[in-house]
Amino acid sequence: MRSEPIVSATNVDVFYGSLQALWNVSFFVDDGEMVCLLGVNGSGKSTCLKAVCGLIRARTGEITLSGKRINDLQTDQIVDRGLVLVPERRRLFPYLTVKENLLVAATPKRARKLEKERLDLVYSLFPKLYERQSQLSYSLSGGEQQMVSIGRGLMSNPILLMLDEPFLGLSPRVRDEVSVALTQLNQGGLAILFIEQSLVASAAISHRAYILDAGRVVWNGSSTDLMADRATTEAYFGFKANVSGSERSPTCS
Amino acid sequence: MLELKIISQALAVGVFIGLTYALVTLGFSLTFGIMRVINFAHGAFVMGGMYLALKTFQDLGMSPYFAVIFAIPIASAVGGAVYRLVFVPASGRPLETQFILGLGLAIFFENAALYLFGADIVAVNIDLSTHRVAVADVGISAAQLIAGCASVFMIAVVAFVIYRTAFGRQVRAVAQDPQAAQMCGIKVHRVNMAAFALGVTTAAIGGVLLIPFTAVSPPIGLAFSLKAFIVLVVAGVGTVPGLLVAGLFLGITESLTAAYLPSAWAQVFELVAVVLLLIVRPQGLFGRETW
Amino acid sequence: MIDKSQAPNSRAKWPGYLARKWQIGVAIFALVALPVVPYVNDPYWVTLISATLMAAYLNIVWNWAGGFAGLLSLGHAAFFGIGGYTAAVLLHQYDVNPWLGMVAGATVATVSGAAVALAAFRFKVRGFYFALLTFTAALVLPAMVKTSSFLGATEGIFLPLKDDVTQLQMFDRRFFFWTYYIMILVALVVTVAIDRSSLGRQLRAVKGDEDAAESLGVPAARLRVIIMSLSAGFTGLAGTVYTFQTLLAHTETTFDTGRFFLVIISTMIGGLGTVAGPLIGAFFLTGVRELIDKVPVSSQKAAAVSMMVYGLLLIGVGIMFPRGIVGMVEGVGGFIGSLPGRGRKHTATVSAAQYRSPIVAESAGIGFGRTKDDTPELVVTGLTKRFGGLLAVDDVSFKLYKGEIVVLIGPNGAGKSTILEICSGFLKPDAGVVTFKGKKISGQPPHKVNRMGIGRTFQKTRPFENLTILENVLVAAGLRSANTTEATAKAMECLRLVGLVPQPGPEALGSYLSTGQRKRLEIARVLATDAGILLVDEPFGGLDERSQGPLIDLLRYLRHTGCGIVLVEHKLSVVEAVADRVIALDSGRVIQEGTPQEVLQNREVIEAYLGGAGELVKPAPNRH
Repeated sequence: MRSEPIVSATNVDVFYGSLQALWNVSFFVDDGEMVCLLGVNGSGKSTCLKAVCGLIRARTGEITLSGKRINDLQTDQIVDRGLVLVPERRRLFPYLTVKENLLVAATPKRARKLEKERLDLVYSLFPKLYERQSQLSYSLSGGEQQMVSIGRGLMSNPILLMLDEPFLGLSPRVRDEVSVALTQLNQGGLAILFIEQSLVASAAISHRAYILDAGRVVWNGSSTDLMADRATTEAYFGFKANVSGSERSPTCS
Repeated sequence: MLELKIISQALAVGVFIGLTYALVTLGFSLTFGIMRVINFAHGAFVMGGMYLALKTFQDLGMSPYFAVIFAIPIASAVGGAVYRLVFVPASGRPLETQFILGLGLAIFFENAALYLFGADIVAVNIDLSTHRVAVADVGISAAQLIAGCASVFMIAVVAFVIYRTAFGRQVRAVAQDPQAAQMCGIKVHRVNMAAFALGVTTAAIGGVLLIPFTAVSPPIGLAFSLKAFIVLVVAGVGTVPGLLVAGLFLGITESLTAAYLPSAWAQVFELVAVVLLLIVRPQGLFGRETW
Repeated sequence: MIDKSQAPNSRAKWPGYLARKWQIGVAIFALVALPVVPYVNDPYWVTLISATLMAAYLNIVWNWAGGFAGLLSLGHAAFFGIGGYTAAVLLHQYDVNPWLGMVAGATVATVSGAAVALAAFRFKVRGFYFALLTFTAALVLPAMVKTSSFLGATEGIFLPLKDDVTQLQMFDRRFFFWTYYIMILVALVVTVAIDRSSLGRQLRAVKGDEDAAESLGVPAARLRVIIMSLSAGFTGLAGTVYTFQTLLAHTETTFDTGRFFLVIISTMIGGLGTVAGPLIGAFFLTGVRELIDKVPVSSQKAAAVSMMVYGLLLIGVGIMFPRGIVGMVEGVGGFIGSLPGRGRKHTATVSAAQYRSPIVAESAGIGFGRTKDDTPELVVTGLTKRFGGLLAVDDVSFKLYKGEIVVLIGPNGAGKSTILEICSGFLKPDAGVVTFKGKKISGQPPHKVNRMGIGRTFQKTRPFENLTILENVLVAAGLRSANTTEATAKAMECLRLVGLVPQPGPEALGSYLSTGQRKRLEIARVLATDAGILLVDEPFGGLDERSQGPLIDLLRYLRHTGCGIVLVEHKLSVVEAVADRVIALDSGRVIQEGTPQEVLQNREVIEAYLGGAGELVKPAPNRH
């Protein structure tokens, strides 16, 4: 018997005005899992995460958190219940310090009392942030900003951490650091759902993967199966043409 | 010698009125910084405070300053209601629309005042209005002194709330990126509503402080909105020191102009000065784009 | 070769176009029905409708600036007053015939509008600040008039009463009805002409994103000056007529700013930036006032109540129908159109399959009319740019030949983007010269640089979100085509070349596109400008692996057609795939130039850019 997944989306359709972005999409994340959404630009990956955290409404279908329907909740209410999204392009509050950025994310009730512990956790995960805690966040480098953004997600004491392209624009070294941090968090029991464009990078750290294409889920299964599935990788990632020396998977220890 | 006396007199009055203008602009600046709304109804709340004080004085026979006791709950409630009924449904609409909403509110409040209180220009004269506080030859009325000092105190209180408390942190987060703030679990509308109500309350208190030396009539609301706009343009958004300096600039310009030119020129002069300033420094003297 | 099934004019449904059509219908209906009014023989109605017609006329001409161009002018009262006072003074002091005075008033107002617009653009006064500037003008002018006895000071100028058409007066009330009626007809014809022409599209583009419009060769400043002086002139004309109707030029009535608050309010209620909205708004407001007048209260209270209702209406419309009554009607129409079985659904997402055959155009023989030769096209000499104390570009020189791709590489802040900004006219260099085909382009405004044949894309994409994909490209194509058919054909070709047609299709709105699609739209737009040289800033940033191949193919194809390309790029795989030459920059200086192999294996380059690992890895930002 499988237990209830933390989050599950069933037959979800999403529209932007009259344009349909998701067509009958279903996916789920189990406790302690690390799951990846893959696909080309514009295939609907970000829309999936936005739908889960209430930034855009699903027109049909159901999204549940531990079996309870959350379709109609506001984003802040969803964060209150433990689902948090680390958005694409970080979206830090530029004129708040690193520490203020982190503290302001401990607003939900579930996190307020744990403020100190969560802050310690983030600083231990990314010691660089401790050094820079009173710096205004716009003056940080791209990698540090990504760390603050992830840290902000962690401050809300989530049960599922969702990340939209956490590795975008990061240098290989920072990529590795972030990737290690995510793996550590996952091993500590936190469920993670993330978006990535690079197949190799994501397969290395995730348990399972979904491939989206033109707003539909076209493949799902374990990451090891995906790497072995030549036909699928070729169809959706143009594997032959584009795996070059410049795109390397992060090594994780 | 007479010349010097007129100028220093005008300067002294300008400084204390200018500080009050800074207080009046504080809420306007908060609203713009947080919700990106040029709220042309802001001056109407100043006018509301003034009428409240007028009624306290006329009908209850109390000192107009007692009106602060009524102003705080009434202004908070009105501010909350306006935010809930007008700005929540309109959130996410383009800037033009928000501008129109402010204009609509301003028109509504001005004519509501016209309906309730009539078009007469009314002044409140109490002892403090005429009691002179003088250093050497230069003197101002006690009411002006009270208004300036109370304004500085209020501004300090609000600045403390914004920069030193958890609520203030949330306010600033919402100002800088409302969607990201929501993704951090912040109740954006609740924070906005509180900040908006705070802004309305400071405006109303500003009105109460002004009434002993400023006559009130319905159109004064729009005039104060224009003043707040000028102060904000000069100061830039999100800066308390800028607000104080710009408030002083306006107050002093006004009282100096009034000493030498017919009153219609005061506004013209301010606007021309502001347009010139804009040309030199489009972002205002101190500001950045957000709180 | 145009695939007919994809050409937009063959589509049955094009919502924007249809919407404008019904609006014109409403306008025609209103204008055909109105001439009945003078024969109702009730002077009250004739006067009321005449006043409404003037308000509607003012709405329509204000909307050209406020709606189409996004110039929220609060100063039209000044132009109205200038027109009125000019004609009054000419008649009163110099005995000039009112009809001539009318022309003179309109002319002076036109010149004033141009002056205000020029001053605003010279000093980059925009948005709310533009509103403030124009409002200042509207306050300053009457204050000045009050001090001049020649202009009647506070008394005003009274005009003699005559019953003579040649004196622009008649006792018959219907005279002014017909005058305003004809003025409205003219104004509406102009409105439709603006809306339909490429001028209207360009204005919307400028309103949406001025820089992006300029980069496509749209002379934004000139357009705004034109529309502002046109609007001011027509407003001044109304000022002259109004002055002869009331026989008085007075600071309180002729310069009445309140009138223009109502203009703004009713235009907003009708629908800002629409064709029929201003007309509908004016009549709507009159209707509301008539209804309120029926309420039995004292006149002052009635005025207050009617203004309270206007305020509430404005709020209600602002909340529910931001595009006014016109937007509301379109909303209903759109809802019917979206019902099941009507219209087709569009997908907002992208399939990997779309990338399979991106360049079909090469075989179809699409040329952009370029010839080959061997002199350098773009010559950059000694370019230097400072930002405060920071030396962003330091004595940079390079050449670009026809049919060549030069890639600028370097760590963040090395000055690559700044060089592109200078070459495209968005920044002026502190020293040095950029020439294109022997002509100096540095220091020229962006739209001129583009007209000379240099196109650019933006690192952070800037589509016109309020326009469809096709209209986005038409902004550029329309400037260079004889007619709409030709422009549309060209725009469709460019869209097909970058793979935005057939999916997501020409009528998707710019705001619906994904990152990759936005990047391709920018390239389509810049292709439609016929640029011989493309300056492309990080087109691969944020693109997935699958999208990179087609874009590489596109760049190679453009090179094949004779295009010279300057590319800023971070991804080394891309650099190796497309570069003919690579220029490596660090701290604003050229540290190495040569073939990709030479540059990428140079020690200095590796240390500055690749982090000293001595190994080709994905470039990192320079900050760690």
